[in-house]
Amino acid sequence: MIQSFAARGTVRAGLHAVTPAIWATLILLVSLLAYPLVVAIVDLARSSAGAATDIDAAWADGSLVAVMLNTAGVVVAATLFALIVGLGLAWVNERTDAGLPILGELLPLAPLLMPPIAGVMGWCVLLDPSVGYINLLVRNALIIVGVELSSGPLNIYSATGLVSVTALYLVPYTYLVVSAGLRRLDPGLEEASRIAGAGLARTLFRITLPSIAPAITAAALLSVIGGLGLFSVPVVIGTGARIDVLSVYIFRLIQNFPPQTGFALVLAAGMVTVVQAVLILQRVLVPGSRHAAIGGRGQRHSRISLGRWRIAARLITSGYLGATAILPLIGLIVVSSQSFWTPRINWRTLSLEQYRFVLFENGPTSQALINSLVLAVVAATAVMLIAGLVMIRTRFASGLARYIANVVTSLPATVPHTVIGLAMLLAFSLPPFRLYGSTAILLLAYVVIALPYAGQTASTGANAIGRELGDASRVFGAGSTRTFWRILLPLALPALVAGWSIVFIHTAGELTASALLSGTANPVVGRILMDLWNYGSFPQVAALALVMTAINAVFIGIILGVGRRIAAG
Amino acid sequence: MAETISTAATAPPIANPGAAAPKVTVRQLHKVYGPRAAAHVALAGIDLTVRQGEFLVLLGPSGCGKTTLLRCIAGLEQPDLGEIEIDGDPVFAAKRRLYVPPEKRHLSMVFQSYALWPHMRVANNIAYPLRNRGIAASLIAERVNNVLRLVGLEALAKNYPGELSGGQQQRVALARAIVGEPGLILFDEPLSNLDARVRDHLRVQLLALQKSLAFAALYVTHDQAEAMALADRVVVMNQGNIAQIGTPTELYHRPNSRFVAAFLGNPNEIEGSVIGIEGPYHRVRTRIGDVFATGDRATLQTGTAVTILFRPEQCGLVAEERAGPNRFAARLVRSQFLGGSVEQVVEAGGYSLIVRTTSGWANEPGARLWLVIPPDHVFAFAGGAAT
Ligand SMILES: Nc1ncnc2c1ncn2[C@@H]1O[C@H](COP(=O)(O)OP(=O)(O)OP(=O)(O)O)[C@@H](O)[C@H]1O
Ligand SMILES: [Mg+2]
Repeated sequence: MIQSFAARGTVRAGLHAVTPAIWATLILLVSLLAYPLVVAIVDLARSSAGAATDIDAAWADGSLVAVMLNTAGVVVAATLFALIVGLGLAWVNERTDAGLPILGELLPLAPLLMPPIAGVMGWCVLLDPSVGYINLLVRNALIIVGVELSSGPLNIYSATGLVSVTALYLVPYTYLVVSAGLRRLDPGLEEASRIAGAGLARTLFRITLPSIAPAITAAALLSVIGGLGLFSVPVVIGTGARIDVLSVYIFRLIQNFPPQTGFALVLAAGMVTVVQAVLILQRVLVPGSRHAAIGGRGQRHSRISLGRWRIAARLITSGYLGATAILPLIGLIVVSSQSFWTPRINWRTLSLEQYRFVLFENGPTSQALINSLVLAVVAATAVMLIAGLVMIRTRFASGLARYIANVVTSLPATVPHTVIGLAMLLAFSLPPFRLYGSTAILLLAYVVIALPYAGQTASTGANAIGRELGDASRVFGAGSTRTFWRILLPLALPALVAGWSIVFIHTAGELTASALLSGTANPVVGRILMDLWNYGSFPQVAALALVMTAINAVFIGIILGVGRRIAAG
Repeated sequence: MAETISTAATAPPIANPGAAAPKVTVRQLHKVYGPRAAAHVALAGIDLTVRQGEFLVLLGPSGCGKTTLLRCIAGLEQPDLGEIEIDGDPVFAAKRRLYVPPEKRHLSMVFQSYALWPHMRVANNIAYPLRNRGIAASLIAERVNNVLRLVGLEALAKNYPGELSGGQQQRVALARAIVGEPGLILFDEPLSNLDARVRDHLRVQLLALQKSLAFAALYVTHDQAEAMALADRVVVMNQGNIAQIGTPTELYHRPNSRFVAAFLGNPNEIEGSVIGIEGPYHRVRTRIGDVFATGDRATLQTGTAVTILFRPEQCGLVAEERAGPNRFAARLVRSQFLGGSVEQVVEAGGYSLIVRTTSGWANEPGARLWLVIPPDHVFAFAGGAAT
């Protein structure tokens, strides 16, 4: 046997050998993230003196402390909120007879319908204290009962508004993780509790929730990370409410003249540290996949009967989905058809004028639209091709190659997008790249940001391919390249198309990194929407946002269609 | 075996006189899985020849390395040591670091999962091996139609594999394997996912195809009845080793080890010790009496502790006492009618033994009977009973 060990490793032409091209791709991807981060760290060390005075000033006037407290407060409150909503929706949908299968499909996709910044603006249009349409409706209703208000009663530009809308954007995270946990939970546990005499509520709180505690923890941590990185919500609502959070504060430091880069880097480093700490916490609190196999059996024995409450539960869940997706849309549609955002909707002057303006007449907006769409197509195609190639080619390779591929593609998810944008800005503005103000720098950032989504969907697609399907192709005379193109790629294609669509949508409406990297020379939709909003060009904002929404809707349709095909096939 | 490995690298294999030329030759094949610390030996030095046009069946318990051996021959797995030749050409040689990838080995395979490509229609699945060889489209269409007719699936050419029943999928896999007219087809438990009737039907069809197309077949199964029905020769494997190679009748009547005897037909086992050699037989003292058994002269001497094995279908039960060798008093515990035969459980010397006869339904439980075992069908092997 000793002899055979000696021989191992000598014959290494390898059926599933990972080619040098794959290794080169992986190295390129790592450096695409690592290089900017290294430059940022070097920069940080160099500018520490300047940063110190800035920090001292910010410390003295209390703004730094306020930002920290605001950030912590908003993230924690929004996470709690998102957990409660996500848990409720997931429980109703997975555990009771009020479940709507479509909800599980649509809920994670709903936030994709509009670019995040546009969705937030939609809520502002509805809940602005003086001219928000919902406020107008409520005030008109109150006049009937004799109460007259000049503004309000709801105000989105408040801590409550900021937390609520932030939570809305975190619910999909919590819902996905918690519902997956519930789905894996053996229903026998609950049935046994009911048989032992515990009621519905007692079973829920004593059995169900403790059993999925790991999933709840994971959801909370994921939501904290998501909340920390969120930019669109605080840049619009937080600015209006004069509540600055970290992501927006970093952005302002860079926008200031002169830019306080050193200070921004210190904060970014702090942000990364917090996120890494949360990730480590997650690994400690939610160890691996041990909890993933709670029940393991796919089928459900019985769902909890809600009796009379069933209709109510259904109304609430579908109402939530409808309201969160459709209300801001309606608000934007109304504004986009006016020439000014006014409390009084003039039904006679409704027109498509704003669309014509943003699409064809206004140089920056039409240029931004073109840039965003082209960048989204290029980034999605490039990143899905890379991810598809890497994931499929390492699917049957040694465990190490697969592991490395997974780590490399998921790395950027652990760095907040504000930090990615900042690091890219520093690294690629300098010689030898000098990419500041170019679409290339945006493309690089988008590829890095999209890599985790792309890697995830590509590996899902690749892992669904049975080993013998590729083997059979080899036996029947196809080489590894031919096998890739004729067998493996077509089999993974549905997942790759779904991944492409998700990446496209995220990229076309991206704002967090674009806020730092896009300017007048290289406008993109996210950035233009933010600027137009700040200038008060609300109807144009709304029109441009709706154009993006229409485009996104098409791709969501593709995702849903492909999802059905995967499920059916 | 030691000589084989030293000469094999230089001298071409010498064809067995009277037998067909070897299609595949495997020498001293080793395969180890896992990291060094937790290494698992899947193949521990396999020597094997598949002759041209031969139907060779690999039989063995689960996990004994059958699939691994098949995959090594196909080139889907790299052995750690040893050599493989196909048609006299080396396709794997550990010493020379030679490894020919599967697509260059010109063989075909039927997978346990069928491995039909779900995104291709039946006809395209079958055409794939031909397309990879750059054969003209018109010729491909003709060949595909021919094999579709051969397996009786003309009507389903335009369907996707997902729309077919298990038996139909299996026939597509078979059609894909034969369309390129390979000299060798590897089968990995191709019938194991099918219900009994479809399996019997396909087994007959497969054998007829193999005889008419004259390809060599290396067929993996762990079903001994299937092995017996299909094989020209059977290779019994055990824990990465070959236990015995022979025709079905050889294996059945002259198993060379307790493992082989036990694996083919769930025999009765009784412990005893050799007390002498009389004529062609060993006389073995056991708790049911002195049993005359067939055993290896060289290893089994007087005093050796042995286990004797005999198959339920090769012994009989009679009511009247008569003189003769290997007749033992027994008591009927129960009997069960199985259609074509009767299975009876008898108690003798504290052992519970199974006897399968074609008649003998007349006896009541508790009846005193005589168990008759022809000495030629009793095998003695050294060692105690299996636990
Ligand atoms: N890829 C692998 N990694 C590690 N161990 C493996 C691998 N493939 C097979 N083995 C081990 O090698 C041994 C032989 O496996 P193999 O699949 O050849 O058995 P088999 O005879 O085909 O069994 P079965 O009848 O169950 O199909 C088994 O113990 C198995 O656990
Ligand atoms: Mg097997």
